[in-house]
Amino acid sequence: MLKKRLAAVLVIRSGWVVQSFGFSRHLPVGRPEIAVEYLNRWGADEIICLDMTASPQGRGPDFEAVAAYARHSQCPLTVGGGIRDLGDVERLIAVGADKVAVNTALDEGSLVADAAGLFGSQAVVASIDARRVGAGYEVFRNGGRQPTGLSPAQAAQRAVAAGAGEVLLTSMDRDGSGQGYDLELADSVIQAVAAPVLLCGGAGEPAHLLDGARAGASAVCAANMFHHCEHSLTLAKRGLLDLGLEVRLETNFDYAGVALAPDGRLAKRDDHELEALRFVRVVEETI
Amino acid sequence: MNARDPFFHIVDYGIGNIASVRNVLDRLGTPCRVSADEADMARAVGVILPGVGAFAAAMDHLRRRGLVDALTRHVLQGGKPYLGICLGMQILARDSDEGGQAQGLGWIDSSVRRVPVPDGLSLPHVGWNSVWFDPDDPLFAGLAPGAHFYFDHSYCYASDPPETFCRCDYGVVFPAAVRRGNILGVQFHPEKSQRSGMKLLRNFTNFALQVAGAGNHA
Repeated sequence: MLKKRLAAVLVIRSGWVVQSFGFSRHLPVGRPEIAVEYLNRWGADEIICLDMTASPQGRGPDFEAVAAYARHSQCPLTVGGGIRDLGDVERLIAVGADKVAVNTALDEGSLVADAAGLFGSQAVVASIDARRVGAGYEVFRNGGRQPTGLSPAQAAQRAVAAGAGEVLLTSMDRDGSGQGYDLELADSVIQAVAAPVLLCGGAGEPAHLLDGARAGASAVCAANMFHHCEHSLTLAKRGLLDLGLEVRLETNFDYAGVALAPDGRLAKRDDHELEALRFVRVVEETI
Repeated sequence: MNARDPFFHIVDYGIGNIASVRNVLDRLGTPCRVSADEADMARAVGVILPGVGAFAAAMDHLRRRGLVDALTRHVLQGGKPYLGICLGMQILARDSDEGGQAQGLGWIDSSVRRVPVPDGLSLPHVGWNSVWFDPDDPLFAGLAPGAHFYFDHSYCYASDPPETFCRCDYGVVFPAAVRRGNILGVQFHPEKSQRSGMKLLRNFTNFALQVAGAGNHA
């Protein structure tokens, strides 16, 4: 059967992958091409690249930059940030995006309907950023700066009705917190639309990802969580499998039987084991 | 690429996503040419036909570029190894009921219809799903039954023709790959399926080079 997806989100600022904290603080991580290359090698089910400065700077997508990192992906690639019109969508698909994520321009004319008509609903993702306002949640556009007066459920329903095939829902409050997804926010959207919902914002360890999947998300996403160690995403999948969630894990290094700490990192092995590992020959797989 | 190196022809008929297929072949170190030219098809050791979208539009594009004749000459009659991806597998069938009845190549005796999913499951079937095949099948060498591939489609083969050698379950079991001698079709996207996909594409290119080496192609 169709599996739940573990997707890596890459927030890109001025051409660099950054860590994002509460939509307000950012730390540099590295080049998008390298991140896309390694996340693919580690078994990402999907990669989502979001240009966070395009809309605030009033410009469209950086197509050359997208072409450069798209070459490194052998799994579905979603690209967002700065999409203004159908021309931007066409060009992104032409340079290698499989899907486009529309955020600021989500209610712009017939953009979603036109893009879905041309490439199919599965190529159009509605990207919705929201945070707690009063007793509920409100959607903000333009890098979280511009209030829309819409609830996430309303925004999601409108976008799906217009033709968006999926909803990428990001919690601004939980962004970079490592405290887990905002499940109340997640639930409000998952209950509102039949389309697949991808959750983002706050995941710090496999248990959080599991909660998101059990809440009904089709894909659980994380950004900062994957920046800290080699095989981070592979370890997260092993963590999910150990917790009982069926996910696809087919890298030739799969950490089966290896002890993980609750935060998803490798547990320290016995010193004798580590000593013995010095003499184990590991042959890199060639296809 | 040396002018005499064996190469694969990726058919560009204005409707497929050729960039991803090309990227993977580049990664595998396999020369390829992307075009709608019959001359490339004639000289290639193998043909790859990708495609996402509507059946009728695809057949129309192929016909208008003279590619139906070219495929018939070199693949069906000439025995040149062919791998159709997604739509590229569907067009091997007799016809499809997508948007009215459209005629396919008719090389596999089946029709194409909307995947008859049970209640609770929606279309398109998009995401990673397991496929089931004989563990000794050469196209899946190096992979175990249950391996995951990326799917993105709303239509599938309506029946289980004898050429079916791989199946997938999305609430209903449907053919995920067909083989008629040198003619192969896969419903999933190996170019979007990371390691599994790369292995499958390597197995296909190895098969084509083997056929060429044995002098079995036109």
